[in-house]
Amino acid sequence: MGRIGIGLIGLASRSQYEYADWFSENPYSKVVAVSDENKQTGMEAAQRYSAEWHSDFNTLLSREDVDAVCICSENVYHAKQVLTSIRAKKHVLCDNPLALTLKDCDKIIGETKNNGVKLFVPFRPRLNAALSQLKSLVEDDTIGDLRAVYFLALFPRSTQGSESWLFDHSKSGGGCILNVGSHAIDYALWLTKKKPERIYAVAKGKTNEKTENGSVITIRFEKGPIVTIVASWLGGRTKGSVDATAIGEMVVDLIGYKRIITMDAYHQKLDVYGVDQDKEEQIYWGMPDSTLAVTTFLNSIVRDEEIHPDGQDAKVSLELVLAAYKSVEVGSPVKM
Amino acid sequence: MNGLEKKLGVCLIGCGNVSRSHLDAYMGILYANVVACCDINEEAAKKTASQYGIKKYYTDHKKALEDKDVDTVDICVSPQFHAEIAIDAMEAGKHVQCEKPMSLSLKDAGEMIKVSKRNKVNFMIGQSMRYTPVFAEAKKQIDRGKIGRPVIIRQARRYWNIDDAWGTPEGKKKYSGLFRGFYIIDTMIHHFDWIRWCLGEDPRTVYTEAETYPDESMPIFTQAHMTLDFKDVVGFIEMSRTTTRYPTYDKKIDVIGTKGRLTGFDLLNLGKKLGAHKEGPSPTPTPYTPLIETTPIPGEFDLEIADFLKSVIENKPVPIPPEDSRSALAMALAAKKSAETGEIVKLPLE
Repeated sequence: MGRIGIGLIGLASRSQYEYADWFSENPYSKVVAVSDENKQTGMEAAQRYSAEWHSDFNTLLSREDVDAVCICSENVYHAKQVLTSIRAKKHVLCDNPLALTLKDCDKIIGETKNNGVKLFVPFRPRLNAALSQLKSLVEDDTIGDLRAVYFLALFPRSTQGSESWLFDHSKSGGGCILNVGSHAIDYALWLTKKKPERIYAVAKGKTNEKTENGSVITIRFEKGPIVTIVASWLGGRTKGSVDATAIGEMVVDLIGYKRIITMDAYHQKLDVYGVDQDKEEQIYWGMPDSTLAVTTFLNSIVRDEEIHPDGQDAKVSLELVLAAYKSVEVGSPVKM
Repeated sequence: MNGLEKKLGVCLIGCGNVSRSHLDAYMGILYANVVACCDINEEAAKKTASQYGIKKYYTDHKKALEDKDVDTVDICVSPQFHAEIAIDAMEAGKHVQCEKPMSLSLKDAGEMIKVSKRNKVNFMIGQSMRYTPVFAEAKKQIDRGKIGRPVIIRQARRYWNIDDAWGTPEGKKKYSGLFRGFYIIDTMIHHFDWIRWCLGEDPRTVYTEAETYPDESMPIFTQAHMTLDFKDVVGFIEMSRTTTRYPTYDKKIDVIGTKGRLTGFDLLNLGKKLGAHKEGPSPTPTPYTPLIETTPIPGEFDLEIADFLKSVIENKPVPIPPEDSRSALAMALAAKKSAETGEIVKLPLE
């Protein structure tokens, strides 16, 4: 088997470059084509990966050397692009969210099965090298019965620059609950393996932007822990203003009868500042989540193995995300 | 004469655990003398008096209030007796500093405020966390606009599991009278007061998810996640007494603002020590080992008590208005109600 040909669909999210970098470094894969409506960004990316640019993703899908696609377009296009790719018999890595409605999720799950391709939605925390290991501490009873979880997820994003579309509801479909909280929700579901009973969420920051940029979400699991998630696009460390290029933070506290464990997932960083710098710079030197995502995806294609998080996982997370939005709207907890 | 040359006479009522922190604080204050202490348990009163060199002790607070040497009363009894003793003291013309929580009912709290106004005495509830250095500094930085406008304010308080106190039959007997939401009011009141003080407004709603202690003979909330919905801010407060033999007593503060981020922590008493942690704030179950035994910064009680006494001597309003404490109590009662019913509770309470 030759290298797996990867087609990049959409350059809206910075994650696309992270994935693409690893796809080009990995000996099993090669980026062969890029599609984006914007000619300049499309051409630049094509050059960076020695690939070809197409303005229309359908052209990319018609290429025989494309075996799999990596979708990082604006959220509202995800469902349609995923469905078209699956029908063209391409394996799909789609950045969260997979879709914005449960109906679309069901359609995608069905089509994935029918066409015998892999569908992968890489939620970050469970693919994070540090956080993924916490699960074994829960399972081997190191912390005792898990009673509560606190999850701080800060993914700094700016209303300026290439990812400003996130703040436009007509393109993103939601704010930080959908784009940040969903990752932590997936992690909680994966970690506890319990059924959510009810969810309560409060969101703030809509005054200047159309989407929320700070939220607190609390989920009560049946016979399980109380999980509270702080999800925000704020929090980048820099002098005077929020730095959207900062790596952000993922910190998880597990509270059990025997122990409390705190894991700072992005602790492996270098803080750099000097006299001629007006801001502190953070350089992450740990294993990026995107590396593990790319390897997991390629392995499942090469070995023809089941992959998670898949469409079903994405659907369950979205169910809770939608319930959280409902809770914000009605101002009270929502039963699942 | 600037007033500070006059020594105030203090009577401390209630010689339990917290009274020791108060008495230690008075030792360092030059313009006050503890002239008497009082406890219904004569043994406790006697012991405290001899330990701290206090000349008089009483077993009836009404007798103590007749003492002409007493200018101010410091109330350290259990919360259900706060209102009665504070009201008696103020009716006797004494200034009153009373431990938190103000009371267990808003009606009592309102009555206490009324009596203080009528008798024109200084009356303050010891919301000591306003003086905890890390929380005091955090508010200062927020007020200065260092992190822009706060969007999320998270506070956590984690400390030893009650297994350690209740694991024995004696412990169970001692604490068996506590109601389910006792710690949400008694302990978490600090965090309700702090966030309300910080933002200068009341939340519109409170919601709590809470867990009770696993032993059915002690049905009390030991884990509580409380979400406060302010106009432009979400407040999240976590109470955790779940973990057995948790080696420290953490208070965490984490503020996410439009232009930055603020995080800090305090360890009760231990936090005052420089370089208090060998292991860092990460609560791994290793025994605590202080690196330096000195206390370079004053504790919250020293600052709070000194501030109150100063207001009495200078004849000025108290630094923490009792109305604030009543509002904090309303938030705590709302959080308790939400924990019990599983529903949102709106403020102000009916």
